[in-house]
Amino acid sequence: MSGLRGKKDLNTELNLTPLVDLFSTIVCFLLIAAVWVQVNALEVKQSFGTEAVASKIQNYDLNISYISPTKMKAVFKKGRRAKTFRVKGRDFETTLANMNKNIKAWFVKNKNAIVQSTFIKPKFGVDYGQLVSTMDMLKQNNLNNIGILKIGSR
Amino acid sequence: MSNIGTQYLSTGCFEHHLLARSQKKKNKKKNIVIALMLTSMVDMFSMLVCFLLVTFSSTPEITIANGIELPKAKTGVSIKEASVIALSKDTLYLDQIKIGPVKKILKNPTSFVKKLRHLRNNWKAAHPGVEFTGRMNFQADKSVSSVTISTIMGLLTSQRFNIIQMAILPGGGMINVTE
Repeated sequence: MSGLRGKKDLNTELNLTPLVDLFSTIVCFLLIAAVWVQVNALEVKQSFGTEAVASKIQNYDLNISYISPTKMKAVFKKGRRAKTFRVKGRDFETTLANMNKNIKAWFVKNKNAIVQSTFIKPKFGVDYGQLVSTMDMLKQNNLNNIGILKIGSR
Repeated sequence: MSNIGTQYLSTGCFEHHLLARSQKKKNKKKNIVIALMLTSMVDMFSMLVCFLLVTFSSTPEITIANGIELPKAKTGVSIKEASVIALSKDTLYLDQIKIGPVKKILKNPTSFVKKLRHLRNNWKAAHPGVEFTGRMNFQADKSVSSVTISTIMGLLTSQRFNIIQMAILPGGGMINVTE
């Protein structure tokens, strides 16, 4: 009996007050610092002044222009040579898909070609969402140096 | 009467004692100490902390102006901190300050260009000896005409804001439909 009296009680209690304090502080901080809407970006590199003159003759430039929301034109330029594609579809999505197919086919044919810069010429009737979709399609084809032309500029 | 061991216990007495005790309790005021269920609260807090830690992102939060529905794209990259130009269907904002109706600005862009120049000069003053990056965040409603977008971008470029980050929502995708 005397041995039992000397034993310590093994049921330890966790002090919950500082734990709850810590949790409340972390929750408050994380709730304040939380980013609820994740926004990404598509980068556009616009040229100004004479900056664009220094284009290399060996590399291609790609000009994309809208004839209408369902008709598009792509011109691969290398010096004075140019290869033009005209695509159309029943709606904008189909037109864009056809353009994507053409660009992919051109890259298969010209494996060593480097497209240095891509310009998109906007058009009345084509909205910003469609412009972004076009840029997205170009970026998926590894065309990263994209600029948007101002109406009236070459 | 029942016989427990060598003692006799009167059940009548015991019942009487219990009745008296319950009567006493009824007369007393109710004890209002309510125990907080800490276990479930700690559980809830831990789950909340885990969820918030997992969803925590170090990228800066960009406020999207009212009335702007951003387009979706698949190839977006994380946004970098810069001034924000927001273009709703009919109004232009610069760093959340209303500049005015888009049509009016496109007709006479002098005041807008002045504001951009002021912004650029402020940046240069804040970063002495550093080359101007020309970075600008651009938000626009997806239904705005592409010609309006290109004109606004032209104005930005005229003030050396030539790296424009067009805000998009992650999503969208490539369409493989062919005709």
